[in-house]
Amino acid sequence: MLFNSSIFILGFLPVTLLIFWLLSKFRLTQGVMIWLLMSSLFFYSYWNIFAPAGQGQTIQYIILIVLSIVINHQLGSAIASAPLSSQKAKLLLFLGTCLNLGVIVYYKYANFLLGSFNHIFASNYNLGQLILPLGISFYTFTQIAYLVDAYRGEIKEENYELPTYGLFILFFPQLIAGPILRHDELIPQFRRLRNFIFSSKNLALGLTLFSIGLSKKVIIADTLSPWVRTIFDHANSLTFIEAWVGALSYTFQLYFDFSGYSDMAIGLGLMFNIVLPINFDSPYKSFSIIEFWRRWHITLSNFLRDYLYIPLGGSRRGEFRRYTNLIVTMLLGGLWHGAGWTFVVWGGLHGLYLSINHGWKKLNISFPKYLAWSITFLAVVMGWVIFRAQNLSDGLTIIQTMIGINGITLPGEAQGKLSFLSSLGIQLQSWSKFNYLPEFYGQKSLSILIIFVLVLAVLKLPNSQEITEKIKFKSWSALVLGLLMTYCLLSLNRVSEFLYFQF
Amino acid sequence: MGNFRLIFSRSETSLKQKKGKALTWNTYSQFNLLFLSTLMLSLTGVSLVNFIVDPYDIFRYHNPLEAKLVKPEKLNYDRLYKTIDIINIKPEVIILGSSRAKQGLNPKHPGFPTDKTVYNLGIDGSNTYEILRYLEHSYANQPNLKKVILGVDHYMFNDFYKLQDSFDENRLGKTHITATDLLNSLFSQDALIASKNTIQENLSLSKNTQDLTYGDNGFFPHREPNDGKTQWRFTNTINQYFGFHKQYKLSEAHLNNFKKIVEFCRKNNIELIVFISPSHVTQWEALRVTNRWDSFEKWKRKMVEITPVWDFSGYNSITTEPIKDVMTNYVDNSHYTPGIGDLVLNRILSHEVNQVPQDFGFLMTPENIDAHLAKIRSDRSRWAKIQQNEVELVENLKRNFDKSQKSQLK
Repeated sequence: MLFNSSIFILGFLPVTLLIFWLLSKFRLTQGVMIWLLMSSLFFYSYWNIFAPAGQGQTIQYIILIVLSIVINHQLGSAIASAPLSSQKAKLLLFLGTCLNLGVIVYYKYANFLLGSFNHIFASNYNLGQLILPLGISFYTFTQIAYLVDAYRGEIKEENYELPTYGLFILFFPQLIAGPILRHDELIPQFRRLRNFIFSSKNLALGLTLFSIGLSKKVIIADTLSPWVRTIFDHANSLTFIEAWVGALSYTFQLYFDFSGYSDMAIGLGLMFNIVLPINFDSPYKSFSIIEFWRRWHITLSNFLRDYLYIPLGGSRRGEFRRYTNLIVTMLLGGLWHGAGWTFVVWGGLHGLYLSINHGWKKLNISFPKYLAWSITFLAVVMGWVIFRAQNLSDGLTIIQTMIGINGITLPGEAQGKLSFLSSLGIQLQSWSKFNYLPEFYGQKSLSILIIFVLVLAVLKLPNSQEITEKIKFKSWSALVLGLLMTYCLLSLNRVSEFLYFQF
Repeated sequence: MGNFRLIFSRSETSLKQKKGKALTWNTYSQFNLLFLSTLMLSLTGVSLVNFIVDPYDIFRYHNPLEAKLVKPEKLNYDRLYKTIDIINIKPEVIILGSSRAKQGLNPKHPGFPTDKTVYNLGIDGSNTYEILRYLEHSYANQPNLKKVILGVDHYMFNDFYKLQDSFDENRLGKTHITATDLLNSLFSQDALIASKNTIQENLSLSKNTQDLTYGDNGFFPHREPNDGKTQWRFTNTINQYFGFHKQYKLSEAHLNNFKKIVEFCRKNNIELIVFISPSHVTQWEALRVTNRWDSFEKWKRKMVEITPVWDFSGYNSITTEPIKDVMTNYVDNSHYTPGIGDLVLNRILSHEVNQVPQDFGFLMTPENIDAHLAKIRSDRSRWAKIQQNEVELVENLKRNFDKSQKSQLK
């Protein structure tokens, strides 16, 4: 089920919440846990059973996730009960990690690896079409982290029982697209009985965050989505300005889509009195790439740091190893986003960016703020072009066009005020000739205005958590948010997928 | 942890709880109550409006408040409202096919048995798979389905011609409206805009009784075929044809679906009559200039191997009507008028056959198909000599179309 579907908002959520509150009112703590577990499983399997994405039923994937949970829980307990850092614990951790990685490699990367193999050796092996199990990256990595934590002796005292552990993995607000959680961020909250008392404050905060997130997704990201598709589908025939509009549209589509989703997740968590970590903190306000990664997909950054960068040795083994570790971490981080060379290159590029950033810091020269921001933002935008492009050559072509290598054509009339530009080698042509420039209310020029407004918005406006902190819970804000929510619901008549949906 | 800066303490990442002066319990409750009532009231309001106006005409059988309005928005939602109509009306006789069948064949034709309900299930731009699925949907709702009239077109069997986005597999084969359709037609921006348009059009329209029942049995003839713009429509739709069907490959899968339709009817004792649309000769000329004549003939042969097919295509006394601003037989180059639809029905239902021109409609079988195709070829060369201007019209349109394609690629 998707958060941005009527069936979720008008059906699943109210029913789940009402029964949750009812059970907690009568202090049926076990019942509350079971109810959340059952409803989360239903939320997850809805997609497998009814196949609303039209990809065919995949009921077997429910068994996959349930098995994965049971086995990892058992492994976790076994590791925790073995002596700390013993051979047995090591072996079990190794086994568990291989098992989890094996599953994800099979579903997510096998066809990609085979494809690359076939390409090199001109062979033709394939496994047929594999539908990616919903949320597999999230639940696999969450559980690997859990096994590592068990190995580190962090769950020894806890003795998590299976239903609690199952709920930690399946809890529907955080399952499909993150945030990625650690056991000690969620399970203790499930265990605290007072959490289950109805809190009108948390409901108000939750409704606010959910409405803001849904609006970001529906009003902004869904408007940009067709613009992006048209432009990236025609990578080879774009003009300078179209390439820029496409790159920036995607920069904003991805952010508003994903951060909107995270806002909704956090809002939903609050309705159940569970505090989920924030995942975005106005990333496009960053003045450096290091800062960008502190503000973008924060829980993934943390995960990569704690379970990849640090185990690789972090910065403790000298400068060279530090840069190598950074690049390896980011390359794998790239691959985590999808099985494709564009993701690998995107990750490698960010590894490089981070290394340059760290190297630069040693020189102790600081840029003026506007320059620092511009360099950072442009570097991120170029990265997104590679990330979104259908293949590497498309991505490079678009970047070349953006730099002006393929000529610069601007909207204008040859005889008009801008005609002096032609002496600078810049061509002019009328708006109507820009075939891929998106229209907004019938005007192509308006799309550029929208992009400009969005740049200002991500720079100047407070983000969702800042809004939630500042909001006065007055009648008018309830009215405005209620109407906003209605508008979004009315716009959901065609349910679209989240970009990170099948992740 | 060195200088690596992907660092956040967990307290930083957690949502900060509201600080400052403690708000009273009441403030939050009031906020929640007002938020939820705004949401509920506006949703109820919108859905009530959409239910009463019912722009897609899908609640008319279960709506005590049904306003007697003309529903112009229905025209583009065949796939939605015809699914629901089949569930409610449960017709024993259905007319299947594309927009040609939808606009040309009247379910009230006297050739149909008077004691049976007849419904026009023609769907704009449908292909054979869709037709098969709608046939199965009809049977699921009316196991007593007796007769199926199926109008086929050459484009439907094009391998490159895919299902339209508005086709929804999930709503078919059910005996009730799906939750998604219900939600979309009550709580959506689309439906609200459609309701607004419906009300606006009703305010500006001079009502007449025919309008009130327009499309009630799925039949949608062109409203004003004699508006003097027929020539313009001809050139327009020929160009559209070039645009939509740039590539053509006779599809095994579509032929197989056709076979499944025939077998489904045989198995369930449903009488099936198949015919090829009597489009205007310029339609066949469009096939010719795009080098599809051979595949057109091959298609007919393949179909006849499966079942006999009435052929109304070719260069006969109906299809060769010269192009004029006001025409009797045609709305545009592919859509014929209900008058011609009546003649088709007369012929295939054997009803007052003496009113039908001798050369209009021929039942093709494996035995006679060779002679029949040869006759069409000779009819064509005779016609082309007389109507040189119409031959040239199509050729010119094709040349201009190719030119504009090339300049777009540059």
